[in-house]
Amino acid sequence: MNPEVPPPHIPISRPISVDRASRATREQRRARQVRLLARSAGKQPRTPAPEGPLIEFGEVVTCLLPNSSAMYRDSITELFGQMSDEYGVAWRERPIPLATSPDITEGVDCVLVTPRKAEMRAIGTVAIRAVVYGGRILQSSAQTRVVRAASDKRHPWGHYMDRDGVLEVVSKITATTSDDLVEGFLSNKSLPKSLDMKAICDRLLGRIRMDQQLDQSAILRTRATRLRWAARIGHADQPRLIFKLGADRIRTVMISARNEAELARVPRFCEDLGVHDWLLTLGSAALADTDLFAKDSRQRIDIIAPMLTQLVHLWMPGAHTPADLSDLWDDLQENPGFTREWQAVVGQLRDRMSLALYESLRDNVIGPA
Amino acid sequence: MTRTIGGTSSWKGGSNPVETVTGYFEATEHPRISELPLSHVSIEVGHFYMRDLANGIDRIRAQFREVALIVEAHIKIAQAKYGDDARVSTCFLIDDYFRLSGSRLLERTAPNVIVPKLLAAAEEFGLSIDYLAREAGCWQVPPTEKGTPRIYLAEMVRKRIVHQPLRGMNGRRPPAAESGWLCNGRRESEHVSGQALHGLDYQPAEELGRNEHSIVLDVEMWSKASPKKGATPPSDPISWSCPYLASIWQLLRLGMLRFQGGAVVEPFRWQPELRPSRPGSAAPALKVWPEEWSDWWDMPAVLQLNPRAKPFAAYHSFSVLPLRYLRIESAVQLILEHVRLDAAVIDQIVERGKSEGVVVPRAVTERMKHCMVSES
Repeated sequence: MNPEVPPPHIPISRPISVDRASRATREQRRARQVRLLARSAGKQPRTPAPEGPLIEFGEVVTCLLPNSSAMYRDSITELFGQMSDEYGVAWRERPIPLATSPDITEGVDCVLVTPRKAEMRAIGTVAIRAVVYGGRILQSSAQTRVVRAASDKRHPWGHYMDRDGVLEVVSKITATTSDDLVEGFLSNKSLPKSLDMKAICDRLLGRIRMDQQLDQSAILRTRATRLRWAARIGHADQPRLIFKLGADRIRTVMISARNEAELARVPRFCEDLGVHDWLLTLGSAALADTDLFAKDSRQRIDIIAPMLTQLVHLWMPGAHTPADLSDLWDDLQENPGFTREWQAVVGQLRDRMSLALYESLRDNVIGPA
Repeated sequence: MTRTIGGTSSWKGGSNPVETVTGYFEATEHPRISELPLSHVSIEVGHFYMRDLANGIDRIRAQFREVALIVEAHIKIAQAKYGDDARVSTCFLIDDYFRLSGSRLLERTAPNVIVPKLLAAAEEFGLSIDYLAREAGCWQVPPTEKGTPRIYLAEMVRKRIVHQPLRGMNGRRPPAAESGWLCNGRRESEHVSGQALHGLDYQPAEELGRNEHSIVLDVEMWSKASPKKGATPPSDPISWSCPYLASIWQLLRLGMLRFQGGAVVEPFRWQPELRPSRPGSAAPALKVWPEEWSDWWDMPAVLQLNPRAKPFAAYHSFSVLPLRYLRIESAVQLILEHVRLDAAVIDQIVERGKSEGVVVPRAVTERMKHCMVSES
């Protein structure tokens, strides 16, 4: 629009009398309203924003349960009792025992990070649960699904309480919002007011790790790994993933699922992935640690023995992955080859163990007189 | 959105478990949630403080006279809505949690004194009380003969409270679950420390999710109690507030609570033994109170007085209460908005309603109706 030419309904000559002046003011106001309306109309997305969930994302922190022995169903039920008394745990016995706590939720009213600085305000809840795998490995897993809000106003709290783990975006949504959210979440950047899933996960992990039932003597010194994942519905004929090994034990996973039902099963897959990535990380760290000590030293055996006797049998990628997402494991087995790497690590650990054993025996049997 | 029954552990959208575990299935994978028998409406027929019950009968009679008419009308409404065989049950909650201390008063508030008096007054106006419940039962449900353990109900519901986030709460700080207060907004800034020194602007209180103007409620759910001397139930370090226990009472009546998948309270059927008031007299027989229930604490949480009563829990609750309970009931609404109920239980009840042609809202606060009666 040419700014020189005023809209036709505004009188060009300015009236002088008080009466007409007020009328002119009214006209000006109306003109301004029209301009604002036109501007806001220009802001509306040209392509309709996507329906359904924009993105689902979460975080899984994996660590060793600080307990000297493996935990069984009853003790895990008690351990999870601090979250909810009512049901105890969802328990799966085979092929590796898997205990899942009931969800708890936490309310947030925060911003979501996007690469283009557009502030996305989201209100709702994050669902969190604890998982114990094989009675040894503890996970704290948080997830939330981002959807568009019906209106740009915040509702009374009861509205959000009926939607576990759903965040409603009250800011404007465009066709690129979904991509922006994925990029923003996986970039690991944070603003002062942006959603802090790390804190939510760590709080639950801390609560469980400090439980009096645990004897706090872990079989090995280990560190936690953190897996951040984002998922959305893609158009491919099978689910796809991008797995990125980051520095400082942070892994990011981007998954595209085929439909909403698959999307809902992504958290379970990511927990499975988290366990196996943690085992691999632990295995390589153990190999590096043993290098610090002499080949027949006690310290070397102290590292290798608990790995071999307590943790190696837990390797079973995909065992608890929902069937429709099992293709994702095939990709990972192909490249980088999870099981291949694990076999190499375990082989090395066993060889080092045998060698240490041999060295210590040689000293006794044929050593110096 | 489809949800798995008992699928609290399977996040949204989980479908039939058989679809996800073709060929192999473990029973413990999805904890079972039992269905409760449900009435259409559960009507609460009035409420008294313990001191009203301990004193004269006039107040009780006056209230029951009015309530009887309201209940009658409401039964007719239910029949118009759900057909002639609409299931309506009535209940009464005894205020035995906030008991009067002092041995003289304890004697006057013993169950064998209070209950016959109460039931006689109700009978006088043709008001039938199907279930008699104890408020302390909303705090702890006593163990039953069937072997269910004591259920720490107040504590159990406390774990389900999700605090409402203020704008900017992003999960970094833990939700303030310890204070015992629940607010539906931001409190005013007058009492913020340091304000006097820095001269910050006054910020009025603000309700979150409000409609134009704010009504900010700040509800105390519990406080740290000093142990009571000589209290028959072992004293709790926490003193639960009236609105908090009343919220649990509503959840029980609406069939929303489960313990290990089963019902939290199963009404205990009690058939009073009748004894003629005087040999040869025409006066109605007296109901003999069992010896073992000389103290409230020894009684079951809910007694079923009418053997033909319709189920205790219901799709909808209707409470006839004295006017002074207006504020308590708004507090109840606020608390219930913050209690995270099991999606599987909600689904179950909504589906059951659908099969019977009853529309059951998902929000529990929309299933509660009230009628406030004046006390004079």
